This record gives sequence, structure tokens and C-alpha cells, in this order.
Amino acid sequence: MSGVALAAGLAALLAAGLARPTAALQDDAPPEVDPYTRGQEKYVERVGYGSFGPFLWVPGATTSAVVEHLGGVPLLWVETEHFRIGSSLASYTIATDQVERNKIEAELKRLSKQLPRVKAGVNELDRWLRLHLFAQRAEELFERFAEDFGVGQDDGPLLPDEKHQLLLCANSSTFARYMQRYHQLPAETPMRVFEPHAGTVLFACAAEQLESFYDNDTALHALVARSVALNLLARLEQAAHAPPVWLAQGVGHVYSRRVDPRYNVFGNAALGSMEDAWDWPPRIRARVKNGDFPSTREMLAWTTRDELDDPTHMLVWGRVDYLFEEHSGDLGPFIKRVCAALPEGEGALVARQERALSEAFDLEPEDFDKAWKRWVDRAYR
Amino acid sequence: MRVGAAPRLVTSAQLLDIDWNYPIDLAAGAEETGRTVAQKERRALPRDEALRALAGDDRRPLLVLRECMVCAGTDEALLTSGADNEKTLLLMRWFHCVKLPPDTSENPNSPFHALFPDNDSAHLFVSRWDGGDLVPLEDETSRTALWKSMTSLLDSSYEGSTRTPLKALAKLLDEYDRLDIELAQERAQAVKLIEKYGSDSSKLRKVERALEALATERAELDAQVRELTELELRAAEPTAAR
Repeated sequence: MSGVALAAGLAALLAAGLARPTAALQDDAPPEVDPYTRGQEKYVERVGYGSFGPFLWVPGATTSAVVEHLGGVPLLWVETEHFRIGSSLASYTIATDQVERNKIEAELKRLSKQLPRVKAGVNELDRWLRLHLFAQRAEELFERFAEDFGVGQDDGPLLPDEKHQLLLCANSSTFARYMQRYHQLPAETPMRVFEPHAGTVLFACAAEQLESFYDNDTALHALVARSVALNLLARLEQAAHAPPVWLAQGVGHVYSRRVDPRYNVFGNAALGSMEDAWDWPPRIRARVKNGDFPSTREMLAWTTRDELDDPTHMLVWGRVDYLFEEHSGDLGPFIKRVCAALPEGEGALVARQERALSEAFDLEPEDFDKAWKRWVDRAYR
Repeated sequence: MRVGAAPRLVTSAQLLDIDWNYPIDLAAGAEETGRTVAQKERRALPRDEALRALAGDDRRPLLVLRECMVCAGTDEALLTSGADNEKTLLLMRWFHCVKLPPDTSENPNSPFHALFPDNDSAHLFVSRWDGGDLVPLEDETSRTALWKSMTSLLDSSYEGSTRTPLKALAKLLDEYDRLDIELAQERAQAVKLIEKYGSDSSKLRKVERALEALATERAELDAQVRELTELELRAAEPTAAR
């Protein structure tokens, strides 16, 4: 088992929120039958669901057993084409923020094409509707990721032995009990967990973990997008080697910022006021102009996320944003090469990346610096 | 955002953070054989065993809260809307805080059912580590009564009084807030200078010195917090659990 916590970035976010009374567990208990499909086969099939449960969640435990083991917390379940999703998220009043309102309205419109009982103009997302939305978001992300990396959705590499798992808890207590019970992890922050023996790849978090800072559905969506993308990336390179830290973090930021660039898990804290800390393009352009950025050779040598401070998170997003925009067709081959087995010897990590850059993009490290600087000057105006 | 008080900034909020423990019944864990894993059933522990399981090797007094299937916001037995919760939160740092799952009372197979045997049970209690001197508490309990129960247990569990450190810690919250504001201002200034003039700018040196001074001041406050928090537990004499 291996787990990847988001501890560093979320520690500060968590700090201000743990002292509040937690949300009611069942003040808005959901109806047992999904009101949008009413369990009718034609709608269930149309929206691409396999089941609302019970189904096997981990070896030896069905979704019903998980609910029992977590102390009766009301969890809703759905199995989509590529995901198994559990949610105890509470109902949500859509924020007055117009960006969020427009985003959710567009999502509901797409969903209503499959599920006519869904209405786009609502002010509140009930618990079932949140589950449907996250199911749609997960599948749309899967499709986009497959396109971005040139991978067929059904030809294997993106899927673990079991479907990807997504567990969205309302409360930190449910999340903590789940991580202890099923992964023996004393976790306080959102986690990605790979269980090779069970063939599962999981992302789990609690909405309460974001409450004090980014207390809205869009921020949760951005966090899920980042984390699921990183899980997909981990599947893309399969049993080879983890992608380099600059690349993984950059890819995570790309998918998070596509949801809404205001809600970076890492990166905002040391970049000034909340009003504009998220606005990275002009900040990157200014730093590039002043020569304040790590060179490609420096980036290639990083081995842990701890080597990235907040401004560096911003800068690696800029690097990967460039690769997505200018070399989109070559991302898949690049990942394959960059995660290939390490050659022996000192400097092998850097050598493998240099070779991958050269073979996939025809870029030497110094060329990457120059090409990126030119692109930043043009694209981040 | 905390209920019933002016919002605190990040560092003071961390100081007020409750270090909850969420015990699970490990006896009901998975039995693994290759890819086949059988999940054992949950079972209710006898009361004494449940208390021992909660306390483990920790000899601090217990504060045990049960989540609830029907109440809105069960934490409100502790943190009440419209009240100043900071004193409660500061007192809790000397307790071993435990939160139990929502079916604890309703489900007779819930591992800790014996501690809250029916829905009329209180929502939380404080007690010595072994369940002695147990005081059940409800959300209707007045703040004064809550603090009195907590303080009384702390006095009997620790060698020193918590009154003086409590007052000192409360003052430090304001100090941390001031420092957080100053740190944020200096950091924002540093970012501006880097983006405008680059990291070699001579103007940046002055800001960096200010940041260093603030970091030193913060380290000193952290040391004070550690010193104020460290109280010696009295020798653990088991009491008859009621």
C-alpha cells in the first residue's frame, strides 16, 4: 500500500476549520432511491451507471459493510463506467459567486440530457444530485485525460485491476475512520492510496477539510480533478516508475485549474492576497522576465515535492501548461519515456528525463528553457 | 470559521485545533488470505474494555463525544453558536479527545455502545483516563458548568493548575494573529518586489530581514506555547469507574 497525502498544502487550509461544529450527519437524509433515475433501467443505462450498490468496494467488504463499519454514516454509492464512487456529501446551496453558478448550471444542463428530472436552474444540490455531478465530473475528466495523453479509454493503461475509487466524505471523522479501517493510515488530509494487492486506486477526502478556506463545491471539484488526474497519471505509467515531481505537480495543477484557477491546493499561500494570488500567468511572466525561475536542469533533479515552494508550484504549472498547449500530441509518448525503467548509475534520473524531452519533443534542457520563455512572453500577456 | 467568536487567523486557529481521535474497532478488522479478505463483524465491547480501548496508553483525562444520527451538529454540545468557544478549545488541549461514530447509541453492536447505551445518553462526557469521575454533558449544559467540569478534572489529573497557562495561551492567540498579519504583509511585499525587480533586488533584502525577525518572534511564541502546555500528569491511580 502506498498513500500520498496532500498534507503540506492543506495543513494551513485545515488549521482554521477544525474548531467548528461539524455538519449535521443526517439533517438532510437522502431518499433511499435516487430521485433522478428512480431506479428505472432506461435512465440508469442512459447515464452509464452500473449500479447504485451494494457492490464490492474492497476485497471482502461491500458498500453496505463499509457503511456499517463507519458507524452508519449515510453514504450514497454509484458505479460508473470507470469509477466506483461513494459520497456522504451534504446538500449544497450554490454560492452567489457567478462563476460557480454558471459552471454548475452548465454541468446540470449536460446531466439533464441523460436524466430529464435534473433541472439546470436550481439553487441547491441535494445529496443525490451531488453524487450524479461528481460521477459526471469523474467520467468527463477520464475522457479528457485519455484525449490529452492519446490513450484509448478502453485499451487498459488508465484502468487499474478494479475501477478507480472516489470517496467523498462530508465530515473529517468519516474520512479518518475510513482511512484507519481500510488502509491503516492515520490520515488528516486528503489522500490518494494505491493498494496493488487489491488492484485499487483511491482518492478520498472530506469536504470539511476544505471548509475553512475554500468552502465551496467548486474548490472540492478542483481538488478531486487534481487528485484523480494524478491517479490516472500513476496508471498511465503503470508498473514502471513514478513521473518526475515537477511533471506530476504540474499536471495536477493543470487539471485543477481547468475547473477553476482560483482554488489551487498548493501555490497560493505565499503569493500575496487571496484576491489575486491565484492569477498565475502575469506572475510567471514577471518572474521569467527577471530570470527568477528554476532552469530545466534544476527541475529535472528534484526528487520530492518538498523541494517545491509555493512560487515553484506556480512555475511548474507554467512549464506543463506550455507542454499541454504546444506539444499536446506528444504527451503520451513523453510520459512513457520519462517513466521508463531507470538506467543504472548516478545522474540516471536526470538522464532519463533529458532523453525523454529530446525524443518526445525534440528539446534539450536549454532549448526547453528558451522555448518556454518565448511562449510565456507571448501567451501570458 | 469558528462559531461564536471573531475569526482567528491560521496560526491561532492551529492552536485552537482539536486533536480528535476516531477509534475504530480494530478487532473487527480484515482477515486477509491472498486476495480474499474476510471482514469480521463489529461487536460491542463491555464498558471497561471500551474505556480501556479508548484510553490506550494515554493517561490524560478523556473527553468523549458521540456523533448523532438525528441531531444537527453534534459538536455543539461543546462549541455553541453565539458563545465564545476559545476557552473550551484551549482547555481541550489537555484532554484526550475522542469522537465516536453516529450509530454508537442506536446500534447494540457498535464497539463503544456501552458508553452511550441509548439515545437518551448524554452527547459527551469527560472523565479520568479509566472512566472515573465521569461527568456526562449535554449541549444544554451551560458554558460555566462545562468549564467547571473540565477544569475540575484537569486539576485532579495534572500536577499543576491550568488556570495560569490558560490565561497566557489566550493572550498568545492575539499575538499570533498580529504576527500572521505582519507576515502576510511582508510576504506580499516580497512577492511584489521579486516580480517587479527580481530576487536580486536590494530592496528585497530589507523585507527579508523583516521576515526573519518575524520568524524569530514566532519561534519564541511557539516555545512559550510548548512550555505553557506541558503539564505533568499526576501518578495514575485507577479510580472506580462509575
